[in-house]
Amino acid sequence: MGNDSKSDLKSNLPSPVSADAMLRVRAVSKRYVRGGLLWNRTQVAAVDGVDLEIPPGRTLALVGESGSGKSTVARCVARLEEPDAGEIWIAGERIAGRIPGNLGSPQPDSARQSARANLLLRNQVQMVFQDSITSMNPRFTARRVIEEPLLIMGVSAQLRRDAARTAVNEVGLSADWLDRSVMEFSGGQRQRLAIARALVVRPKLLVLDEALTGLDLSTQGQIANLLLDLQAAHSLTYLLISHDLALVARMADTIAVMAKGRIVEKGPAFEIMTAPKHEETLRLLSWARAAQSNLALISGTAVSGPSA
Amino acid sequence: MSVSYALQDGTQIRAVDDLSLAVRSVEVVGILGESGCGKSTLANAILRLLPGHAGCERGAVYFRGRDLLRMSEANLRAIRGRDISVVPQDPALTLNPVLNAGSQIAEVLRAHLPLRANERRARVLELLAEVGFDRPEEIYGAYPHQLSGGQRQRVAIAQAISCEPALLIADEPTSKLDAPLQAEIIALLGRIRREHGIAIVMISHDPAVFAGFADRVAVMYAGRVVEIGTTAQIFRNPLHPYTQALVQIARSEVGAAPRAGRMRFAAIDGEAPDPSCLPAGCRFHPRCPDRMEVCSQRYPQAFLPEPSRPVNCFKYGE
Repeated sequence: MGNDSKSDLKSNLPSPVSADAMLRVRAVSKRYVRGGLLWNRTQVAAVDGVDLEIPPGRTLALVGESGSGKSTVARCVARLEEPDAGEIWIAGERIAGRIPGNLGSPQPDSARQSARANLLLRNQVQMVFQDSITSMNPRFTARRVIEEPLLIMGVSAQLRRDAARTAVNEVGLSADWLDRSVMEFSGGQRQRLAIARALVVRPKLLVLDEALTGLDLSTQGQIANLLLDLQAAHSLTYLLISHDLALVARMADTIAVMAKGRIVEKGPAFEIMTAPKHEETLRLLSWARAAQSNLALISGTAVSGPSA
Repeated sequence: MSVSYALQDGTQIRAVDDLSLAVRSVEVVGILGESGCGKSTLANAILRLLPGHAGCERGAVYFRGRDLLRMSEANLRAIRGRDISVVPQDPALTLNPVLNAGSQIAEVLRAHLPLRANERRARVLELLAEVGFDRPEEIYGAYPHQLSGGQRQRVAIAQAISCEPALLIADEPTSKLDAPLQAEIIALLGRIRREHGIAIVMISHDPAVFAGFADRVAVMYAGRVVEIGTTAQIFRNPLHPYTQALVQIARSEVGAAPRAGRMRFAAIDGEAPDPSCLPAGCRFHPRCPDRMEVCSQRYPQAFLPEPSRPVNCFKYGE
């Protein structure tokens, strides 16, 4: 952790945070230790000096291949990881970045107060994962999954019930299904349930980590449309994480391309899609085109018989 | 064939219902369907790999004239991995985490072929080279956690083809992989099929994986096959309204210009039905744009609007 003194120094300087940014990530780095027990250890920089900014109600897509570090950025923003260096601000409040003696918490005065502040800050950011079922207790009913964040906040039973009902309606699930086990839901329904759980605490920022990956085409379209509708209804800010550039480009205002822990290209979605500059962006685009040409092949836009 | 799952409360859910399908030798048959339509249940039922609460209550699976569903467990074991093998969706779950890749492939060989230890090792290295590893020796000694997702899938494929089976059942083998890896794995399966003359049943929710790979495609909806045809027929001239809707979505994804900004996506309205309360009549009728009165009354039998092109839809007869 050789960078500690440097980042401490940085955190004491006034930060040039634009007041209007919903999410601001500044010079965030995260290293993981890999290798043997005490010797042969190597440090791998998963994220190396990443800067991002999303204005309220906008969508930024962070794309890159597996291992590029995009999920680590997402986990730092959702506070599932503490960055080694750099700062993260949400709605003008710093949620990560070292303050001496206290990990990321903005109010070191009393432990209880800071726990409460932490909770409220956490609620502003919610995350939806790819295999959302792995983030749900298989013994829980849909109701319990959705109500649990409120239970932790100490919300009364009546309010929890109402909130769960509203949340499932919003994501297009029937309130009659609230008492079913999460295992009884299909892949697309589980994704809706995960979105309902995220929405129930009224967050400002949703981090969607490959939330549309692995779904069939029609379900993918439905969930994408749902996310677009929810964004319009609640002025939500989205951080989309994906390897599928063509898919997220259709939902994003801005695209940032990551490779080997760094952001290599960033710009308006249309510009990235029409005039890509970095070779990594070109590579991601060529994958997207290959998938498209397969679809063109089968749907008859281009003609070719089945291989014999 | 029909397969039902017994639930804890005693109700039965029929996941695969009265389904018939024939696979010729050296043929690639694609099974296309949304998640939950019963396609994985079908794949597992063929080799009787279903969990205990599932029962194959009706039907038969004939392989070279013998019924796999009524065969003794010992006879079936001689076929599994030898004549019919499976490429899993997620090899991270099927490979043994505490055995190295090479010995897991050797295990299959030991079960089925009378080879000496050194012959077995040579064969495993040959298989690893065949599935595209440049340094088979290194992969032989590697444990599953040391391999990437794509490498694990190659090891699983090497395992599946180790005894030169006649039929390979591939259950969404690429759905957990990145786009370029998907293309590589499909190309590998295509090459293996050509070089070894293996028939493949390929299961997927993504029509793109069948392009240039599958000879025929069967479209499944809510436990039943609704349409079968050659890949070209199914995608260029889909006849069932469900297939038509799927192909339309695929086409909408193919734009001349790259798309960016907030755009709505194409999707079929509604959801696939819950297998515990299936709609009466045709199972697609609540979502179907072309539904008629008869569609909610009884299930459409297979009509043949074109030769060898069965379609279960009342648009093509009554």
